[in-house]
Amino acid sequence: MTQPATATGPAVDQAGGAPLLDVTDLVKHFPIRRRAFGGGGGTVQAVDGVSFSVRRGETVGLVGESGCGKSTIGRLVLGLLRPTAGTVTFDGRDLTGMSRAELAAQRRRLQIIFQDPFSSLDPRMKVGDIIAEGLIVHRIGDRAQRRAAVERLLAQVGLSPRDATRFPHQFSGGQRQRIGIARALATDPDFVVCDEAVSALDVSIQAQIVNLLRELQRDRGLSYLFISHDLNVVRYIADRICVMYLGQLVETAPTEELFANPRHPYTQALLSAIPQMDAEKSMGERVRLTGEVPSPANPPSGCRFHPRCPHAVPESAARRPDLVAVAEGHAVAACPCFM
Amino acid sequence: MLQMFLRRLAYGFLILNIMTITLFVVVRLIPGDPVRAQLGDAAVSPERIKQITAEFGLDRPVWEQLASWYTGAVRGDFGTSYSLGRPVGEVVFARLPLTIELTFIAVALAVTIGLLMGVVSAVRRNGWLDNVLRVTAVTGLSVPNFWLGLLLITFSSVVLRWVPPLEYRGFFTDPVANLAQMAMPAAALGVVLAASIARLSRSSMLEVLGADFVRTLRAKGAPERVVLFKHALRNSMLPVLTLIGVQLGALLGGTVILEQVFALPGLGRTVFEAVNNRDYPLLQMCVLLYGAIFIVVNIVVDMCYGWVNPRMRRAD
Amino acid sequence: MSDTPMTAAPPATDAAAADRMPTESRWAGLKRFVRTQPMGAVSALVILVFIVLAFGASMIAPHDPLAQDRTAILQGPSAAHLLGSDDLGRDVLSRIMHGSQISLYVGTMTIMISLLLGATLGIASGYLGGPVDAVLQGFIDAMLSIPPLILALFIASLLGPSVQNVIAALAVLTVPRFARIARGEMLRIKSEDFISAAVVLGASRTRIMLRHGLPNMVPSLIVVASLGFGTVIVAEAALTFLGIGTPPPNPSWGLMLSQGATYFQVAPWMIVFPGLAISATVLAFNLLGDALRDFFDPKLVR
Repeated sequence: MTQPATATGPAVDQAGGAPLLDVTDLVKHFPIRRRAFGGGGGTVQAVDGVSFSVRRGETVGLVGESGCGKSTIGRLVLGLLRPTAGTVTFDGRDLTGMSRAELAAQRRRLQIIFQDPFSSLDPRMKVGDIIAEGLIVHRIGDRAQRRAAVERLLAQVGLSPRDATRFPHQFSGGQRQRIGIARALATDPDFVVCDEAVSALDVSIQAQIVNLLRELQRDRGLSYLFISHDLNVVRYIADRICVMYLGQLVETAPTEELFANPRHPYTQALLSAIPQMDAEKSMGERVRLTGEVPSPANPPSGCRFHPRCPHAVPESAARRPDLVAVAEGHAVAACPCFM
Repeated sequence: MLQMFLRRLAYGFLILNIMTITLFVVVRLIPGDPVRAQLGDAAVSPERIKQITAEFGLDRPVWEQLASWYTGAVRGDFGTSYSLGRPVGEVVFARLPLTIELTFIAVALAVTIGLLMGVVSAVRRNGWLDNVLRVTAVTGLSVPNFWLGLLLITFSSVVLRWVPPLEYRGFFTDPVANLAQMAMPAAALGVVLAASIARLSRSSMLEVLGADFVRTLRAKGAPERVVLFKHALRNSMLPVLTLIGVQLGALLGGTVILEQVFALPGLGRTVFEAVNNRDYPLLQMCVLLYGAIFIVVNIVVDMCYGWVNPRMRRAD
Repeated sequence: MSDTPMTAAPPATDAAAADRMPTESRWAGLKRFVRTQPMGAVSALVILVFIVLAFGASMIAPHDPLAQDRTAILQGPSAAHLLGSDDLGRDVLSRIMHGSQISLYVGTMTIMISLLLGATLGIASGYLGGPVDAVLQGFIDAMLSIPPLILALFIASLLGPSVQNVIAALAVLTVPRFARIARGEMLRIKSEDFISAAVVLGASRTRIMLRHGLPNMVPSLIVVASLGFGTVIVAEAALTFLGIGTPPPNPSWGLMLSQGATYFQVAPWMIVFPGLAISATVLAFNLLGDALRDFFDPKLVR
């Protein structure tokens, strides 16, 4: 890692007033599926009181193990799911209270890039139609203008204009991901959720796509919510990182600060699990996680990490720890086991 | 398991009610005068027609009729047949055993023959015998059962010079005559099911035979006979069970036409007569009964599924 | 992660998924079907013959199907009447040829109605979910719990005997089945990311159902339609056989069987040949359906 993440283009627009996206106390509970006449039943607390914000031109990384609720957050932010409680404010407007029509109108400004490049493109549509769909839906431009736009977008993501007339299955995974990016950018959005956008790709292609995303961010001033379980990738692209565990944020800090000074035991465990290429950088003792991730249908009390935490003290189970600022932009769920 | 059973039962009950109400209302909304149908061509005064209409309760609003049907049904009174003048419950239950026997024999034949074909097909995969059996199966799917019934009776009377006894005998009064009467219609009725079972059991046998645990069994040196019958066949029984549940509707429908072809006084024939006579109460009862049989058998099939496959037992 | 050169050059290396159904032309697709599914191709040919026969019956048939010949009553197959004659001296072969018209007409109309109505209901119910879905599912379950022939018998008899009413009755049978398939397909498709992508793009629900849902279930619908065609032909014959379907004197296969049933001992050809016509046609549709399913889903091992 030769390039510090904070140097990514014009990202660090720290001064710029209100955040573009503001998520406050977001909660999402899924009822546990029952057949007809089931009634009752428990809930899965997929997201439980999460707050964070994304500034213009900034990339926020959202990391955590699979099943921790990070993808649910991505879907909540985009209005693909309705939150149980909490608000999502985009550019000063509350998305959660919007009707279907109002939301549809906002949609051109918020986009998503999916993990699975095979499921994310309609196999029955030509690439040109896939990319142009946003333009058609929002009635942007006439037929010729849309075609020109598609060709421009294809070029921007490194594909050929001729590819517009081909079908998704004629492309490789990496190329399909480029098509997905072009589709997301067609309506000229301000904010893009990258939901494990490179996780399904080979490492060499991951690098190409991440570089493409950074390049596009620099050119267009995009903001990203970059959801991933891969800290290496997140470190490379994110300005700030939020660490999630079982539906809650445990730590958030600027990327370099988080890597240099992780406070929460869970963050430490995650960081120490990264295979280190350069041995000179030692994280101290490798922290091993024991046990399995508890079920979000029945989460542990207090600090949700306490059953697996190497430092857990009896008080850990007593009370849900609050996020407490420990440094400039660095907040951590203050579990009694370390604070 | 019990909870799942109760839930299924409750849903089945709901479905039966939807069926009942829809049928009840639709019959009365679509034109077609049941009173005239009872009278045939006889010239009858308008007053008399009015009187019969009132007797049948058809002069009242549909919802009122439905309510009184339900009040009766709760007490076990499902109405009186227009054409026969007897309580429909009595009529239907007198004729039900024949239809159940016919269906049962058809299913038994179909399962035996179908499974046999499927197993042989799977073991001799892609051999000439397999190909013959597969063509036979898909042909069996395509042959109308009533035509097959006609062919059987033609063959037996023209070539074998034998026809089953004309007058229907119950199984308990004269089992030999009864089975002689049942053999051909049951065979014709079971053909489609047998063909479906043959196709399904072939593919599920092949699937099971390719599975890891079968490979392990063989590696352990289990005799092929054990592998085939104890493991592969048992595991491919499950989808067959489901198939029987699904096909039961078609099978029951088939009894209508086969009872007609073979002049058997069963429930199927009763439905046909009820339809022709616009005998609403009788029709209502028959359809209700058919629906109940279908739903109950399918619940039983699902329960068997859960029983045979322990993983299903704790579903949800 | 090492610093790979930032570049806009597309990686031409990972050609993973280009083996399945490239944008072959219609013609190439047809050729591949014939090559991989010879049985299906033969069936398609049989169906084509059936269609040609139906349209050209009046030109091809050796006799007028309604012309009675008192001198040739209940005669077995001969040079004059290749498949024999019936109780009124009418030519069985000519009647079978004309009978194909009814089967084709009823089959086509019923399947089209079922596709239109069933797919619409199924797609809407599957995509929208909620109370609409629950109510519709209840109705479909209720419909499917009544034995199909009884339901058709019931409706056809209420409506009275006419070809249109037979179609209506058979459509009541098939619509719930198509709706169930379409709903299942829509549920499968709904969980794919490209649907979420369309939602995020701001596409309307109608657009998503029609532009993304429908095209992706076309293969399944084609298979079901082919298999359903056979079922409908048999059901039409059964209704007519019972005297509730297509009214006489239209020569239909079911009617021929019911007339032949009276004379089965003296004139077996009256029931053998119309039944063969039904079976052959239905067999062709079933084989075609099987072949199409294998063609669309090559993963299935047979």
